[in-house]
Formats: sequence, structure tokens, C-alpha cells
Amino acid sequence: MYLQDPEISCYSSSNRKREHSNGIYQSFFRHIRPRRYPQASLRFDHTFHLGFWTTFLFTVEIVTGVLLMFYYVPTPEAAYQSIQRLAADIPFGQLFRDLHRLAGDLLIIVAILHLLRVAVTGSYSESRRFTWVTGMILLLLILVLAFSGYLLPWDQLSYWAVTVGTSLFQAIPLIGEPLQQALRGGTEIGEDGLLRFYVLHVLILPGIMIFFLAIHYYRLVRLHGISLPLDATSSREPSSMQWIAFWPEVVARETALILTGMAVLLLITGFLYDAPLAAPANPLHTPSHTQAPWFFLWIQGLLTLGATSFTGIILPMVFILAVTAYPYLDRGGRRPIKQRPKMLAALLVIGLSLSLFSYLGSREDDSYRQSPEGILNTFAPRDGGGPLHVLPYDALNDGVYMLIKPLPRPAGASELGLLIAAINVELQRIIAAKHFTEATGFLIIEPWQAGMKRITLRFTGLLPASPDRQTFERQVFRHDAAFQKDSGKTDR
Amino acid sequence: MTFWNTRTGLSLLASLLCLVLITLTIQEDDRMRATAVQQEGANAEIGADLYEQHCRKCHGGRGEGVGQLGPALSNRHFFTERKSEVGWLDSLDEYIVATTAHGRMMATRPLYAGNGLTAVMSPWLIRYGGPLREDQIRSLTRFVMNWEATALGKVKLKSIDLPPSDFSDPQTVREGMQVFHTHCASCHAIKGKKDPQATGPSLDGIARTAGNRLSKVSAADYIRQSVLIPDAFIVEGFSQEVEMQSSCGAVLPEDQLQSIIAFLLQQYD
Repeated sequence: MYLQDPEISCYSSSNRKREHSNGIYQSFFRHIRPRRYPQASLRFDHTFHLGFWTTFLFTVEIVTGVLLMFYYVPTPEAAYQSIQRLAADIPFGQLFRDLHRLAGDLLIIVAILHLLRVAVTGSYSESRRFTWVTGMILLLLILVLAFSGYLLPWDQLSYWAVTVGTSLFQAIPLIGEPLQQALRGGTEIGEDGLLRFYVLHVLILPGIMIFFLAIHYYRLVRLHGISLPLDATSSREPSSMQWIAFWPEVVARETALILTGMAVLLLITGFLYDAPLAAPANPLHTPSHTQAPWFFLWIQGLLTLGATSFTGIILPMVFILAVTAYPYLDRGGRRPIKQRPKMLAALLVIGLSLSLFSYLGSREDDSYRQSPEGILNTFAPRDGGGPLHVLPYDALNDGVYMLIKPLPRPAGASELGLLIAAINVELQRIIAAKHFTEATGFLIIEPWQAGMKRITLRFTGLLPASPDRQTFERQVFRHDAAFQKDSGKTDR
Repeated sequence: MTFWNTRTGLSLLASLLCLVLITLTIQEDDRMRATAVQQEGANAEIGADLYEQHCRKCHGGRGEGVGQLGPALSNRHFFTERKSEVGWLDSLDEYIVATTAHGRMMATRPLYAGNGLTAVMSPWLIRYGGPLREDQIRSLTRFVMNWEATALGKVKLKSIDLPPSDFSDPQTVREGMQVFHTHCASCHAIKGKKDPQATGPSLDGIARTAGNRLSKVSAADYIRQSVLIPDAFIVEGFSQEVEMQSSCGAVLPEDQLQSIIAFLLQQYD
């Protein structure tokens, strides 16, 4: 059957033997790459080179990951420090980390786009069915690989994202609890859990991924080749097709792509992007809003419909299995997407559903904002961040600013004035809703040390359930040097 | 073959990549320095939070020290004399890290001798049974070291008029009454209720007397100082030997101390 396929006939065993006998496969690279490619298969508007970019980004991940391994220490006591050391003491350490993080996120996006491209062009039929399956396995491995790496910086963001992510296992009947504990190394993520995620991330998962990548690549290169655009398959005889030699044309094309990709990645990571690093992980303090990593938000969103094994496990599993098995179900042969309205509709429904559930998963539960404690969490979260942390240090004019009553706008500190007005709005909102009555509020900014200020946000008033006045207070410390003037970011 | 796949195109792309790399290399030293400074600042903020949670009750909110419980960490003596006082040869940073991590089994100053039963200061590092990681202790150290500029007089901080604590809050007064009966009533009488063994003065009318005893000291500050530093103001007729025990006032959490002050400020008669 394969020999009748014009896309693969050029890779037939007889050809290979002839090529061997001609001594073409003398080098390693020539052995693993075809000698020539159908010109139409390399058309940009057909594949967008998405498979190439996926491999490229995975290679970037491996190279930068190995470099990061020289400095990263996988223990709760030292992990965060080693990330800080990487940024401040190791030349290009921050760049490697930024590249690793950005390439990891891009890898997920590009792999999904690659899958989408194959689905739209219908390049999954006949001999390519199992290649699609290996592609799906690779996509899942990329997601798990990203998830396992998410924990390693050991900051609040990663710690609680992974805690939320691993809690999804609880939805699995019978084995959910033991599976969760095996992954976390106990009931909570600690020293053992971090080490397990590290070993999974740097050894086990990349090993499995390389194995499936080899199968995927072998089938692509040795069995059926890159698919041809539909309009180029009219001529099914290899002799009538136009070909591009691997050396030097394809090598030149790929070198140009690699140089462009590296330049773009370096420009973004060098000048525009910093891998996030929140406050150090604090297992004793749950942030007011926790969410799974962005690529698993759709599962978290599904769980908002009800945390059951159906929404948390069965539904995602059925979805993944259906997508994986789709080439075996679709017997219509390869046709343009316009002639496959069901496929088009399914892709639209899947895309909209994933977006909707991701939105639901990322949405903050704003019911807690109906209390003074909620306002404190909004403006001065316990684990850093929040508006009080991103206000420029120079805008923090010392003083006692009383809330509720009309405030004189602090001279020369319009950003502070706007922030005070925003706090006032929130406070007025809960007063109007009678969640907090007879309330007074203060924002106190006082010099605390040289180059450091203490900001106190305090509300006093009556809660509906209690006859006594109660005080809610949160303090935030700001150091002049912690604020990056150029980007407006703090390291917490 | 497009332009970018030709030798010229590839050379241009390679040149662009080299240009980006050279620019990043030139900037790297400055970037690392700026990151180090920013991390120091961020660590000082983290240290400030940790200090509020763990250290304030013994060493004072601004490192001024609390009674006989914890010495000052923000005065000139600490930054100029402390190392030589204990014969510490390394930097003051490392002294703070070592002391915080290991705690102090015995006092180096008679004033802070503890009660003889427990360590004067417990170890704070997780490895020795404490609650903090090493990076947290280093952040705490960064915060304490940040007092150096003001301690040595290089920087003077402006003070602002803070709103008074709400001592009239009925809930605070009620809590203060409970704390008083738990910790203080065995030595001090209120409204005639006094243990026969009590050794302290009656506190009837303390709100009035506290405000009148010393000029420039408010009633609230007088009570606060008396609780924290038992021999600060000895009432006539009570010998210095009969002091409030350190376990009474100096170990009270700040909120309980506030509530006691609120309660005592209601005692006019």
C-alpha cells in the first residue's frame, strides 16, 4: 500500500538500497534526513513549518535545560535561592531561564497549531493515522513536561498552581488519592515532591518524549514523508513532481529558519520578556486566588461545573481519546476542509469550549471582595504583588490618608491619588451593600527604614453578624530598590 | 530559493544574531548588577514581613528592643559594638544569620537572661527545629542590616502623625479584661478584687494616674512602658526587688498588650 502512495514512493526500500549502494548515506545527517523533498511539501502556506518549529523549540528546551541544571538545586531550602542566584550572579543565567520558559510556553502553542494544521489539511489519513497518534502522545507529553517544570522555581505562583493542578487527581475514583500522594511525595508538596517533579522533568519525561519523537520522525521521514498540499497531489507520479535536494537547499532553508528563530527568541527574552518569579513558596499561606497553569485552566474551568470524576477526569479523557482516535473514525479520505463541515464545526466547538472553560478556570471568585478582608487581599495581598506593590516608590508620599471622606488629592502623586480613589470605591461598594457599615478607613504611608516605607491599610467598622466594631489591617513594606523603574515590576 | 536562503541572506541573518548576542553581552554586567540590587530590595521587603510575623514581639516594631525580652537591633551600639562584644570575627550579616539560625542557648548580657528554663532565643532555621528556611533568614538579615543607615545617623527619617489606636473599641476592652484576669490579676487589684498574695499595686484609677504621673508621657504610653519594662516607673512603697515578672508583660503578644492598655484606660475610679 505504501508503495502506491506517491508521497512515499521515493522513500521505498528499493530506493534506499540504491542510495546506500551509491554511498549517499555516508554521514549521520544524511542518514536521518531524506536526500530530497517534494517542493510542494515545503511550501510555507501548507505547513507553516510548524513541525520544524516544534522540533526547534524542543531543542532549545533541551539545551537551555541542561545549562540550567548546572545551577538549579532541587530542594525547598535552596531552589528559590538558586533561581535568584541564576539571575544575579551567573552571566546569561537569566537569559537561559527566560529562553527556557518562553520556549516552553511557545512549544505548547506551536504543537497545538501543528495538530490543528494537520486536522485542517486532513493530513491524517491512511498511513498517517498512527503518526497522528504519536503526535497526540507528544502533545500530552509536552503538557506534562511543562507542568512538571512549573513547580521548580518554588515560588508562590508555581507552588500553588501545582498544588491546584495535582488536586485534580482527587477526582479519579479509587486511585486518585494514592496517585496524588505519589506525585506530591506526601499529602502536601515538600522536599520529596520537588525532587520527584525535578526527576520527571529532567530525566523521565524527556526520555519518553525523545522515544516518541523518534517514532514520529521515523514515520514522517521514512514511511510517508511530509504531506503534500491537496492541489499538488493531482500528479501522483514522483517522476513528474518537482524536488528540492536536502543539500544544500533544505539545509540553507532550515539554517535561515534557525537563525531567525534564535534571533527572535533572543530579542524577546533579552529586551521584552522576563520569566515570572513571585515571592518564595509558602505552604502555610494560600493566596486569595490560586489557579492551575494556563494550559490546564480548561480542566479547572470544567471543575467549576462541579468537582466530580465526570467533569475532572472522564470528560477530559473522552475528549483526548476522541481526538486521538479521530483518524481511525474518519473514513472519508482526504478532502479540503470546506468539504468536511462536520470537522470544521467540531474544531470550532473545541476551540470555543477550550477558550470558555479556560476563562471559567481563570476567573476569580469575587464573592470574597464583598468584605473588608477581600479589599485588603485585592490591594495588599499577603504574598506580595497587588496595586500597592506596583506603585512607583517615588509616588508613595508619606502621610495619613483617611478613606471614606472626600480626600484632598496628594500633591504631585497622582498615581497614589488614583489608588486611594480606587480603594475608596471598593470600600464604598461594600458599605452600600451593607456588608460593612459605619466604616472608617486609613491608608498610612510612613518611612520605616532608609529606602523603605511601611504602608498600612486599615478598615474599622461593623460586620452584619457582629455588634462590635472590628478592625481589619494589612501592612506592606516597600523598598526603593525592589522596584524596577523601567518596567514597573517588582521581584515579589 | 528565497533571498534569505542564499549565502547573502544567511550571512545577514547570522550577522543579526551576532548583533543581538553582542548587545546582550555588553549589557549583561549592568543587568546582573541591577538584578542583584533589586533582589536585595525585594529580600529586604520579605525580611520586613518576616520580622513583623516572628521578631517584632521580642525586638520591637522598629527594632528598638522590648523590655528584658529582646535587645535593640536598630541602635548604634548594635552596629558598632556588638561584634566585638561577643568576639565575632566575621561580618555582622553573618552574625545575624548565625544567631537567628541557631538561636541562643545562654544570654550574653545579664539583662536578657531568660527564665533559666528555656533557651534565651530559640533556633529559627528549619534544620534546627525552627520555622524558617535559610533564604528567609538571609532576607530577615537584609532587613535588620537596613537599619544601619539610621542607626549610624547617616539618614534621618521623618515622623508622621499617626492616628491613635482605637482604645475605646468595646471589643478590645473586653478582650483586655480577659487577658488582664489571666496574666495580671494575681498581682494587681482592680476594683478591690485582689489576691492576698498579690505583690503589685492596685490599678484602680490607673487611667487617671497614668496620664498625670509624668509630663510628656501619655497614659497609654505610661501603661505600655510599665508592662514592657517593669522597673521603668516604680510606684512609691513598692521596692525595686518586687518587680513584675518578665513572664507577665514582656511575652505578651502585641494585640494582647494593646487590649490590656485599652482595658486599663477604662479604669478611672
